[in-house]
Amino acid sequence: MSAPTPGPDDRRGRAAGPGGIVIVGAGPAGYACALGLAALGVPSTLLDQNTTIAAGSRATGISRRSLELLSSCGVADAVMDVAVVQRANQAFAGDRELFLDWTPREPGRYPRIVNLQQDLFEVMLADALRERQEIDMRWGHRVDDIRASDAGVRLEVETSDGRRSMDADWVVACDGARSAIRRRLGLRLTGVAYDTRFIVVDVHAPIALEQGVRRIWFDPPSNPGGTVIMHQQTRDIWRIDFGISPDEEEAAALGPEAVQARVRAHLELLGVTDAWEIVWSGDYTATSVALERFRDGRVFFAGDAAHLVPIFGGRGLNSAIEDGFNLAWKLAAVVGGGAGPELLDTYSNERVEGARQNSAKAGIGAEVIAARSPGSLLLRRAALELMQGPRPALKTLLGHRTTDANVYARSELIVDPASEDDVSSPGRALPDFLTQAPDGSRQYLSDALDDGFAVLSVGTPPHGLDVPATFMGLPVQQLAIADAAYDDLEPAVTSPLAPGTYVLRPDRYIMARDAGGDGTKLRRLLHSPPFSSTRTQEAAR
Amino acid sequence: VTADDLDQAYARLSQAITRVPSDRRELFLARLVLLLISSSADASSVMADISDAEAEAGVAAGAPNGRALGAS
Repeated sequence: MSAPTPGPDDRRGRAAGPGGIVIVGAGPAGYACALGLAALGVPSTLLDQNTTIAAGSRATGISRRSLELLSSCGVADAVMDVAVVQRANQAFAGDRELFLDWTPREPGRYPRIVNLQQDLFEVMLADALRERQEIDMRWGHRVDDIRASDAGVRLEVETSDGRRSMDADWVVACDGARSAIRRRLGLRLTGVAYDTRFIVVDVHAPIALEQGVRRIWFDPPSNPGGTVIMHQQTRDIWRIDFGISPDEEEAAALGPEAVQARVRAHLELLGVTDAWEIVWSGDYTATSVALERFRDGRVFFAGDAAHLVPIFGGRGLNSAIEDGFNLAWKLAAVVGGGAGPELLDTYSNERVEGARQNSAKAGIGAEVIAARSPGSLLLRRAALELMQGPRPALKTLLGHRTTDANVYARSELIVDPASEDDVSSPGRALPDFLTQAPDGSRQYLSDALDDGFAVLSVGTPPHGLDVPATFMGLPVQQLAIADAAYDDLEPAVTSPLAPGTYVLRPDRYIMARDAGGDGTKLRRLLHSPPFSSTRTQEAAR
Repeated sequence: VTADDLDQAYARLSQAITRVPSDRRELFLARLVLLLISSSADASSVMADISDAEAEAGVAAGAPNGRALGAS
C-alpha cells in the first residue's frame, strides 16, 4: 500500500529546521504526537524510514478513547465511515459454542471499540497530517545514529540523497518495537514474555457470518490444542490469529503451506466454500515489557518503542495514540515558554503508570488466550466449563473491559485525584456525551471543546473564576453545559460528569474539579500553574 | 461461617474429593476455587489466601506465568 505522498522529497510547510521537535516513526504514536502538536500550532518534523505505509492489519481495534482524541482532526469520522463496530463476543470450546454475548448499547458518540486494519487507519492519519502545514513529513529518512546532550540532539539520517545530520531540541522516538534509537541509547525493555506463538493472517473472503462479532475458539478442530481468534475487518478482510499448540513444532507451523492449511481447515469449519486468499501474514509472541522511564533527557519514547503489551484487548495501538497526545501538549507548553522542561517528566510518569495498567489488563488476556503454563491451562479449562454453566460472570475474562482509558491516580499534574469508581474525578479521561449548552443547543462535548485547556462548568455557575486567556502557555476555553446527557433514543439522563467546575487538559483528561466548593482550588491552580517557566527560573536562582 | 457449618462443609468436600476420579481431581478443585472466588465479596482476602498457600508450598508469591525478559 502506498503512502499518500511518498518519497524523500515530500517536504511541505515549515520544517523544524535546526532545533525544534523531530518525531521518528510514522506509526500511530508518531502521527498522534505530530497531530497533537499541530493542533496547538507547534511545528514538528516527522521522519520515517519507509516510503510506503506497512501492509497488513497488525493492530485491529480502535477504542472509543482514541476516536475521541482523533475527532477534531477528522480521523475519527473517516474511521467510522468504514470500520466494523464490535458488537458481540462469542466463544467456543472445540466446535461447541460457549456463549454469544451482545454488547449492551451505550449512549455516546462512538462505540467502545471498532475494527479497522492498521494500514487503512494509517492512511487516514497520513491524510489528516497532510492537512497540517505545521508538520514536515519526510519519508525515506532512516535514523542511523543519535547523540543527545543537555544542549540538544543530533540525528544522523540516511536518505536516498545520502547521509545528513539533523539537529533537534527534542526527539520523540516512535520507531517501533525494534527501536533503533532505544538501542543506540542503551535502554532496555523489561517484563514478561508469554511463550505462545501466534500466526496472524489477513484473509480476503466473503464470509456470511454475523457482523461485528469477536470470535474465540479454544482447541478447535481447525487448530487442535491451540486457540483461534477471528476479527472482521473492513473490505471483506478477516483477521485470524492462530495460537500454536504447545505440542507443535514452531518452525514447521510458520511455513507458508502450513499457514495455508490452517486457514483452509478453519474456513471449512465455518462452512466457507467460496474462494479466499491470504493477503498478509505474520507471527507474534505475546510480551508485556516496558522501559523503566519514557524520557531520557531530550529524547522521549512512545508507542511500541516504549512498551509492548499482549495484543488481546486492543491496548497496543490505542496506548500509542494516548502517548502521542499526552506528550504533544506538554511539549507545546514547554517550547512555547509556558512551562519549564520539568513538565516533560510527567509524560513519563503518567504513561509509565498507564503502561502498567495496560499490562495488568492485557495480561489476563494472555493468561487465558495464550495459556501455556500448567496453571493457566488448568484454570482456563475450569473457567471455560463454568462460563457456560453456573458462573456466566466469568465471561468477563474474555471481555472488552481492556479498552477502558487509563487513570492517572498519582500524577503531579492532577489536583486531588479521587476514587477510581468516580468517572468524573480528576485523573480520569473526560467522558464524551451529548450535551446541552445554556442556549439549548445540543452537541457532543468533544465537538464543543477546542484543542487547548478548558474550564467547563456542569450545571453550576463557574464561581467568578476570572479564567485566564492562557494556562501553561496554551489557550484556555471557558464553557458551560447543563447537568444532563442526551441520547437520540432515550430521555435525558444525569450527566456522567457530576455538577461542578472542571479544568480539562488538552488531552481530554480531568486535571482538577471543584464540586460544591467556592472555587478557591481552581482559582489557585489557574493563576499559579504547575511547572511554570517563571517558577522554574526562580527555583534555579 | 459457624463451627457447625465448617464441620459440614469440610466433610462434604472430603467426600467429594474422594469420589472424583483421580485424573479429574485437579480440575475439580480448580473449578471449585473459581466458584468460591467468583462468589466471594472480598477480593483482597482471596489474594491473601493465595499468597499464604504459595508460602506454605514454598513458592514465590506473585511471580508471573511468563518468562522474564530484558531486551534492548
